Amino acid sequence: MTCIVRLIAASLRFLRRGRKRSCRIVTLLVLAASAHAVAELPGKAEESALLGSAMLALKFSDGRAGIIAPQLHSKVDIHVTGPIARVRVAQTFSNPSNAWAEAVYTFPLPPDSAVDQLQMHIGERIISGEIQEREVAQKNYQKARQAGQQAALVAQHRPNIFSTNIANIPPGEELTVVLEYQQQVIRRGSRYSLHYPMSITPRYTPRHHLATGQVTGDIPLTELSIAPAAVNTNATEIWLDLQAGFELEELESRYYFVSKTRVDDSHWQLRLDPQTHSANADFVVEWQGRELAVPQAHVFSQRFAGQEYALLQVMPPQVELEQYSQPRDIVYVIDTSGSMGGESLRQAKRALLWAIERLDENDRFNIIEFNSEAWSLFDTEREASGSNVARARRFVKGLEARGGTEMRKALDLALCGVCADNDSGGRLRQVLFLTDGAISNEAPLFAVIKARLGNSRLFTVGIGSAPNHYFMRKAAEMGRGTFVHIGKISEVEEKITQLFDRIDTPVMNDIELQLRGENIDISPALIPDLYSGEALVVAIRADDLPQQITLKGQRQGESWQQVLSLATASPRGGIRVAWARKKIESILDERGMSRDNESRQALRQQVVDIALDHHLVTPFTSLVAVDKTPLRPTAEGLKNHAIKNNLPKGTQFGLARTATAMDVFIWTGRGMLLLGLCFIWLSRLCKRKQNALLDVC
Amino acid sequence: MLSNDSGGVVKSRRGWRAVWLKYLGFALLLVGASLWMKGGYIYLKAELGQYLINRAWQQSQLTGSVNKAWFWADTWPIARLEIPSQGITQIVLAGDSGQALAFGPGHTSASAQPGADGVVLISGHRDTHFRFLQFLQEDEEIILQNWEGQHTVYRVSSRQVVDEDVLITNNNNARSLMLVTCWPFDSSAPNPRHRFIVYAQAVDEFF
Repeated sequence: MTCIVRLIAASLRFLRRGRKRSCRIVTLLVLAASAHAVAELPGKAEESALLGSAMLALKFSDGRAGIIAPQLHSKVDIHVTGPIARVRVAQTFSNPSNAWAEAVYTFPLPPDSAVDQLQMHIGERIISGEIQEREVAQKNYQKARQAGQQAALVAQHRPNIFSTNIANIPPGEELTVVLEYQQQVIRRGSRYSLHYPMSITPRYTPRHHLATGQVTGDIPLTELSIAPAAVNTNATEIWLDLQAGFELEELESRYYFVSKTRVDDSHWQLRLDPQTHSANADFVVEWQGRELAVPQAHVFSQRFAGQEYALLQVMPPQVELEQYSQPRDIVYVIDTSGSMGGESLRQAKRALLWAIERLDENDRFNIIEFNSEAWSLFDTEREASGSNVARARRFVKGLEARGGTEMRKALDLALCGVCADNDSGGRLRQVLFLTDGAISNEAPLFAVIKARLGNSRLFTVGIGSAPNHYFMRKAAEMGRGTFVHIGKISEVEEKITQLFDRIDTPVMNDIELQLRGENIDISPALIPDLYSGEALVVAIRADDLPQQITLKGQRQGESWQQVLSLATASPRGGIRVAWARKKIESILDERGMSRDNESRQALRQQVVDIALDHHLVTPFTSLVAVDKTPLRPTAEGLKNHAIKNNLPKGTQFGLARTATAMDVFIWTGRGMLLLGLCFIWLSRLCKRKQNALLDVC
Repeated sequence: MLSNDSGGVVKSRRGWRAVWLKYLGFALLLVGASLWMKGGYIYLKAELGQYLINRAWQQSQLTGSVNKAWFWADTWPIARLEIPSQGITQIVLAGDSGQALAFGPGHTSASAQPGADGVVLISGHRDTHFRFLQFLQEDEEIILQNWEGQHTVYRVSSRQVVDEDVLITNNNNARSLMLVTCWPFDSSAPNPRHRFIVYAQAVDEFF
């Protein structure tokens, strides 16, 4: 209070000297704002305790955390020839500390990738990796690690998550590990796409499953470390050489800016600059062939170790959509778990609203929401009448993200198996599943889909910048539907329209291959239905491939067949790898569903045999490279570092703004009130003019 | 004459100044009152918000579905924070945006869900809901009740002042709770550069 009185006296003195009034007000504001005392820091001990804690990594802008970890630089070369992509990933680990280091890097790869090469570059020397059974490889790696030799190990933890271990990186030096894999390009009509994942979405593991050990991956996924996405620690440079085999009409990179170079009409080169991006969304390239330039079928073959392999990619003739329309029952399932929070849920809601708009009046629909529980909008599928659609729209708009991802409950609700069979009446029953697939108990869910599918078809829509592709694609395959990925909100309408066009009617079902010959293996054994724009992809192994293959199927209720000649197939490498990868995948699916220990063991052995023959990394085999010359003096210790993955877009968290201007407002307000009162009082004094005490007037 | 003249000049100047003083006084009164009310509004919003939100929370406990405190709210109650030693019971809102924090402490949606594995991050305003944070001592217990009715008991393990631009890495190996507010507590700067963090570890849970 005395402060304010003094202020008034001071301001009166200013007034007498004829200074500007605004000057006084500013002074007052400043003084009032700083009138509060300065507080002191709490104890320093806690600060260091928190920083040193293993549960919490705090990164300070001024680098106070000071944790020295190996840096990683990845260089990716992708060669696409026709439907196959060969990818070479060079990971350079540098060790900025002054101690010997071991680096552990866990990273995603496409779900259908077949890792078959590992090289370790030490100076001028290159040491190639060998494929070994997982336990043996692990033992060899550990032995080399203890002995101070440089060694690298590549292992698979889930179908799309791999890890590299590198032992004995000298202080202040770097080590490069190159791994190679093969994957298939995805074809939709005359549009092709390739994706290279750059980040991992943290997975949800139901708690009771953790207890019983049902999660099949051998490292708990929850341990995958994640660094603040704001810091681009893991720079990735991508170089893509695209030989499509036909004239291109369009070529685009979806989420990153790339520089393009044209070699000729069908041959382009793309480059992603590591300086210009943070690896927090998948790298997706799409290209489209000029009409009529794209062949209807690609057929390739290869001879390897006395056996013949072939890869077919066939595009059946498309259906005119207007000619054929069937009433449908559509069930939309939307994931509202905590992991969908923010951008992902906004995309999913937009997609769902768009999908509801597209419903035909003959269609019936229902919406199921799930997180830790699952519940539906209507008790059963209802007509897409105006009021029902309006109700659905309100329901969707009110959805919020929270809780866990108990997908099983949603699947139980959506796929009612028997009930769907009772009530088909010539209607198609389609289930549209919108999720980021942030789960790690895939196998039991696949079993549910298989058991309860009935005559329904399951379509998965992957949401967010890094969804679990393996789960989505596999679930759609088991559900005899398709999978589509929506990576950003601006492509929601386009992708949903595409999906609807595609699923309006199956182009072909009950597909089978007929070929004569001995000892023939076709993968996948069960060929899925084909929807509009989808290509049939089959890999074949035989002792002796026949001259031709007959392809049979049902097209709009009529039988259809096509004869493909294998004699003219173009020979090339990598076909056996494509077959082995598909074969291993189907054996693993079978194994995942099997409860009998003996048959599981037998299936495991089959996988190991194929993997060793074809030099592939699988859940049961790993690649290991060991330099025979010991480098590290064994007396010096080895430090273990985990390299952090960048968090997907939209999930990093900083601190909120937690102060209001409440005190400033209240105190300045009070001050000004008092001052105002004083001025009014003074003006009254002046008017009375007989005041002799104050000379201000 | 001279004295009269000079007297008139003095008088008119005095009158002019008196009028100006009056207007200035009223203007200051007006501005002061509105500023004061603005500050009071923040306080009122915080208090009344908690009351309405508390009702919505109880309703969602009964019905098991999301209940917004008022129909145009862009946030909703997600958990209940109780600190018996401080006599504090507050409802935590979803999201840590300014709109949410005006009405109650907010849960950062990118952090772990209340009661789940990982770091649960809850922020509150230094001036209103989380003013009590300065009195919270180590080993005091915090009970967080989530939307499914699960209570998790956390024990305060440390307190710390950090820069405002730190980034928190979620770690799923431990269950912990972080309460965050602005620091220093008795400053009135509206956007300070430091945050005060109370870090607590889960010790127990019950339904």
